Amino acid sequence: MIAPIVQVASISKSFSAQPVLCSLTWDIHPGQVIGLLGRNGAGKSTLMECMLGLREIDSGSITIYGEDVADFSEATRARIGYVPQTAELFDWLTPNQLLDYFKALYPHWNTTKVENLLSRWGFDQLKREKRINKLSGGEKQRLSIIRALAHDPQLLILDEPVSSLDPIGRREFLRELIGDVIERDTTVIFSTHILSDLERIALDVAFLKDGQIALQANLDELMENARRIVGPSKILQHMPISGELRRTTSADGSTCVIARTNEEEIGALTKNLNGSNDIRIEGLSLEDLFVEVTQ
Amino acid sequence: MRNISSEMRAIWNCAFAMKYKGIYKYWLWFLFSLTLIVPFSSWYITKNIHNSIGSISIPFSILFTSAWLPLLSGSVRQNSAANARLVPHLHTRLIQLVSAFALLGITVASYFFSFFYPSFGWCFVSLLLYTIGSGWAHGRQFGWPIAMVVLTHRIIIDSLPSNISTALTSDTAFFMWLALGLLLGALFIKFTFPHGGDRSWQIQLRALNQVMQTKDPFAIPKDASSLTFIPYNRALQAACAKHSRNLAVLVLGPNLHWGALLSQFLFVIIGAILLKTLLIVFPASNLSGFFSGFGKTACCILIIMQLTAQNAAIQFSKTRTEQSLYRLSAFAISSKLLNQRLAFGLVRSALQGFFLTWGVALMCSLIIDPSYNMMVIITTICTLTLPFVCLYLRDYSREVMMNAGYAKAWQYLGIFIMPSAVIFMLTISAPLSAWLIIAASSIVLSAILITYRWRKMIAAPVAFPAGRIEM
Repeated sequence: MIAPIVQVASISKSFSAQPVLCSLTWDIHPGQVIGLLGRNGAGKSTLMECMLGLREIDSGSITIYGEDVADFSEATRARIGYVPQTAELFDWLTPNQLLDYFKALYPHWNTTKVENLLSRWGFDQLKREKRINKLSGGEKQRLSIIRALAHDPQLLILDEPVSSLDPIGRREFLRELIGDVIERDTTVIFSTHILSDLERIALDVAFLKDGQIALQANLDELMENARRIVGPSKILQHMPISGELRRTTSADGSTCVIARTNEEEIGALTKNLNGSNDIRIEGLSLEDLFVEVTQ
Repeated sequence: MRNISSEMRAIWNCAFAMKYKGIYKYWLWFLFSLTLIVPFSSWYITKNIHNSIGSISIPFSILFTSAWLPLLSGSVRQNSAANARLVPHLHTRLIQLVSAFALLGITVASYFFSFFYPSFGWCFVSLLLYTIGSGWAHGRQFGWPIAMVVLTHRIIIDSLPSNISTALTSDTAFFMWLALGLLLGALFIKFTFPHGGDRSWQIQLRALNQVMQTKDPFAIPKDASSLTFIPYNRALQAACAKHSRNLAVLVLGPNLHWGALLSQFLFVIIGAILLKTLLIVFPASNLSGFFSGFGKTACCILIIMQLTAQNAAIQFSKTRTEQSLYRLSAFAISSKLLNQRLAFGLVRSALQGFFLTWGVALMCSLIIDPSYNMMVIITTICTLTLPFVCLYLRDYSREVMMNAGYAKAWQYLGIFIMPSAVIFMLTISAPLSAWLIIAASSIVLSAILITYRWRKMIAAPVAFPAGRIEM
């Protein structure tokens, strides 16, 4: 069993009286590519910032590569890449100066990669000498991504990295992520609301709800096994269903159960129901699942 | 010879065959039109509007036109970046030729001009225009060294026969002192804040890059996974750590650098020169009253701003992301050290505000009421705001956001301003020594308060990134 590189143990974090993370426990193993999903304000950014030691936690502990977040060594910091949600960074510098600046702060800097990315992502000489505050939101975000990838990190934490990018920009970013980063077995944690992007690259998804990881699973396996079972309450209300995630009963007398269940279990369930036509079993898209799990 | 002529032809082509598109084309035509108008208009203005100096209208016209040229060439250069990339060496040569020509003209003309008409400051305005123009357009301060020599010479000549107060009130000396201050300020900025960034860290980066290039390239880890602390890495880290201590300054924004004060002073001095110029051009008129009132109002507003605004804290609170990224970088200094940097930056930034206010107030007094008494009183009032500097030094680990509260600010306002007002009322007819004692007391008190709160801030738990806004 490979030891997790990120270990989040029962952390809690609240702002004023409002709890955001409640006894959250989460392990991330090397090579995992995890899409972190959650509604607005669910605490995705807070969780990422806590994981990096950028916010103090109220209780619990977080370690990355076995080191406490409050006291990372240089070697560990050199292995982490982070793209913050806010792309407005070092506004007073030019892209060239920004990259020079960070180059001086890392032992390894992939100049060739930086040059390639700058060229491919539309940073011509003029743009490279332009103040960052004069760049568009998308350009700033691209620059932020280039900065994060430049030192070839082993752990990449991306907080909504494509929110300001147009579809072409997103595609280029995903291509880079798949072609270079993930191929090198980099561990990636990224939050996004663009589920189609997540479906392209994520191997795992984690849903953050009520301050906890409500569900984490392999994306393919989840998409294959997630089912919505809808039927009359009198039949479904007290029926145990394995892998149940959520159960709701509506006023019209129907019950809806969201469950992670495999084909065999579905077969057994259908058999139990004696072929009742009132029961509807259907697959779920990631968007449906997002709605059902995070609602 | 053939090379020179072919190069001249190329320069000519470069200057007039540039590819301009869209609005830049019209902008260029506008600038060229102005170039035709500037000599005539400056001659006409000096001859007709200010009749008494009609005899100097031609040299003035030469001066102003010379000063205009770098601005023009700068616009040509800035608006034809594509052209500059295609023929960089010729383009640079063209700019150098224009700048050298303009500098020669302005230096010779202004020097002799100041002998013919010593109590008039237009030559300095022209020099100023030239220097600002060349600095803006090309990022090079061609005029400073020569202008320094010219002005220092003139200042010595003007100041020797009289005392300082006379020198300060004389129009010529006023301009000269201001211009000297301007030049010195610009020189400092040149070595601290050249265009496009902080020179010190650029030098550090260059040095660091050289270190990296001279080391065995094979020793540089090709992949982060191969990071091992072999001797090379240790040496490199030591070098980087040394640099990153200085680079940390950048995280909190360029205004953390002490050179920012000078750049602000530069604007203050330019403003003062413009104000004084307007008062000279329109003496004893409604306009002079207006400008005088404007100066007083600006002075009051700046003092009030210094009292209430918390620019330093607010400014640093905007660098949360930058601080985060810096903290996560491999060779970042420890959070504790950065906390010290932050405390230092806060004090420096607050002091910068104080000195700026003081400078503006003194400038205004020099322009409006150039008397020693007024300067002392203004200095005293300004120093009464100095204790506010300690407001910025706080235990930020307990603050939800990096902002010295307004309630506290008002408390301090009450503590320091109300007794000061009482003292003012009681000692308004007192000798100047009383004012000086008040100013000195305020400075001592400020030093004590700042030291006390500095220690508390450094001793407090590390708050990083500073200015967390956790709503």
